[in-house]
Amino acid sequence: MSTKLRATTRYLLIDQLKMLGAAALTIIGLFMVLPFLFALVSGNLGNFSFSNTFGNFSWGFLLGMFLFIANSLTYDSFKLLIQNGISRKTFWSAKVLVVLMIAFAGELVSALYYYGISAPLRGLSMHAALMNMPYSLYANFFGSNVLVNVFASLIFNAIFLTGVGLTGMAVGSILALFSKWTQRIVIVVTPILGLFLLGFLISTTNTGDGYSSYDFTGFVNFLKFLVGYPQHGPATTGYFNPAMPTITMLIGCAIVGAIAYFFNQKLKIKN
Amino acid sequence: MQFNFNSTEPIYLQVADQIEEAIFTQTFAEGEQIPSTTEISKEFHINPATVLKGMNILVDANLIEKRRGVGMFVIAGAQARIVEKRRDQFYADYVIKLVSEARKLHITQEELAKLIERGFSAS
Amino acid sequence: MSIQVQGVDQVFHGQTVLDNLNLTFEPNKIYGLLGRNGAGKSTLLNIISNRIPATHGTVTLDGETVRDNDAALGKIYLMSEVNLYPERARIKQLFKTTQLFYGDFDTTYATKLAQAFGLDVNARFSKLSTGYRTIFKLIVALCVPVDYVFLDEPVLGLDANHRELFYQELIETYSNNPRTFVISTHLIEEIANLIEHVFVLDDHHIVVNGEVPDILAKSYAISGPQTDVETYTSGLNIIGQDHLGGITAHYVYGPLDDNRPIPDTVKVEHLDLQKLFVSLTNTKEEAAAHVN
Repeated sequence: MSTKLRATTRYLLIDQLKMLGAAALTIIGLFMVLPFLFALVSGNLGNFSFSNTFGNFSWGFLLGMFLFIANSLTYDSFKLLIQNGISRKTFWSAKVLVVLMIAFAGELVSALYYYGISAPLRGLSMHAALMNMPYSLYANFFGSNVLVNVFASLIFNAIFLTGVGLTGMAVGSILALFSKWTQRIVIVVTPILGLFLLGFLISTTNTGDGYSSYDFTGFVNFLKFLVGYPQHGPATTGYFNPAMPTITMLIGCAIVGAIAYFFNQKLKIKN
Repeated sequence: MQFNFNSTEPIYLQVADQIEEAIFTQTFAEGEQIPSTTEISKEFHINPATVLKGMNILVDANLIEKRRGVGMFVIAGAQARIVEKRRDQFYADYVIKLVSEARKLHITQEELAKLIERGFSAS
Repeated sequence: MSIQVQGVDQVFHGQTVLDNLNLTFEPNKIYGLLGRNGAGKSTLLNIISNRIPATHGTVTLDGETVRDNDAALGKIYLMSEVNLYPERARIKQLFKTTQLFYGDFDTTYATKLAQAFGLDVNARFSKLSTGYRTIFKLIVALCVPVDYVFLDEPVLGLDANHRELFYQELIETYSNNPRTFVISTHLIEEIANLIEHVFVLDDHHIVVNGEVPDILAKSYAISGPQTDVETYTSGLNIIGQDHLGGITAHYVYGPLDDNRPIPDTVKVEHLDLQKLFVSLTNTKEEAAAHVN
């Protein structure tokens, strides 16, 4: 690792950790401390539920949101780095490293909270807690040892978070090509167009009598294949194969990473 | 030290001329150190290389010398050498011009001689 | 050992900004990059520092492209009018950030300069006035360990005292540690004797590229009665003229005709850099305003 890459990674990591800290404190304040204070002031402390307030919170979700947003912010970092003689390539590499570090370390921390605070507060066993996660589809794949399965879920989630971060990078570097005004328009228009497209798809595929006018069997089978739907035997929750979705996510990471790299190369200083 | 620069002559020559003038008027006395390249450079916003080029003219003319690690010093006898050089140039620089101007003004040789006498007695 | 700009074109939205530029910056020299507003100076500097890509052509440092090259970019610092520093950061933090990326930074000298200029290192960048933003960027430019420092409008918003201080410190640090400085400014008189080599950018081209004494040696002001001046300068490269009463002055850039006798009535002098620049880069309309 070159000194420039190390310096850049260090700078971006500290920058993102500061933002993450601020985001976490805001969330804690808004969703935990404020309700508690309200309960205290209004004399309803008896009705205040610690397990609801502290038990239902998903740090994993916050982490995903954060990774997407923080890594979509591109131009501010780029301009400081190019002013300091750091190339676009090094900027990209450092950002990928930061995404990996925050995704893996963040997933570990959020899992510690989930299994160490959240689950006991809600009276859930470790296995029951694992079955409450999206990963539940694969939760028993590695046998009866719950720790092995929890570890697998950590890797799985961290790869997913990495993909989210890389997608943020790709979106951010595309947006950075536009002027501020165009960026705002793109941010508003894209979701609306997406909704229209979705509506259009639903209306064309659903003929009203419950039968699709198109044959989607192939597509559905492909999707089943991607999520690791068992090809033989019964499809029981917990016994799906996580290998396929993991490979899919890794390929997805490579694709969005490449897109981010491509548009990152096009970054330039605006006057 | 006060230098006056104009635009018509290369700056390094002007630097040499101004330092020479200062030695001639004994602003920089013999054996004394003169300001460094950087000091002159900073004072008048002149490129250090230009100042050095000017100083080297004076080194070549045996007026100043470099003492390693210390700076530039006026050589003993420098003023006398300048006087000698200026005497040599006096005819070309002043007399020819004087006569040429006198002719334009129809001043005769005798009149000019009288004027010179007057100049000497006035000062 | 040098920065070479080769065949650089820049086209924005179908408009040519730079047309086939070729120039070299050698180590340890002070350069002037002169040009009128919109001549493309900042664009050129942005291309050299890889902030924007050139439409065509290459920029190399010691033979290696600067494009996406940390090693080359780490030897270049461009102090620009556009502000690329985070607004909320404090000045002393920004010194540290510079040190982090460039690997070294003369913090002692930076502190000394901040004191001399009266820059509060605890202030946030966003709270600084235009003049103090310039001062901050200048301090970084003088303290950063690079071989090539590009200064785009280095005295923007600075009062006369601060400009004086800046030129003195520039010479001081240059004398102690020679490196290349490229100064792009409109205040030509202030740097005329400071620069060794000058580039003049006009109408998307480099119109002057040479050592300042050589350039001035072939720049002439020829003045006298109109007919005598016109006879003497006919066929020469006349770049401008002035008329005052019966006196006409022609400005010539390039060799005079040695076989032509200079009439007694005609005076031949050299131009200074500013006058040369103005004459070379005047538009037709501006030039006509002098002739009446």
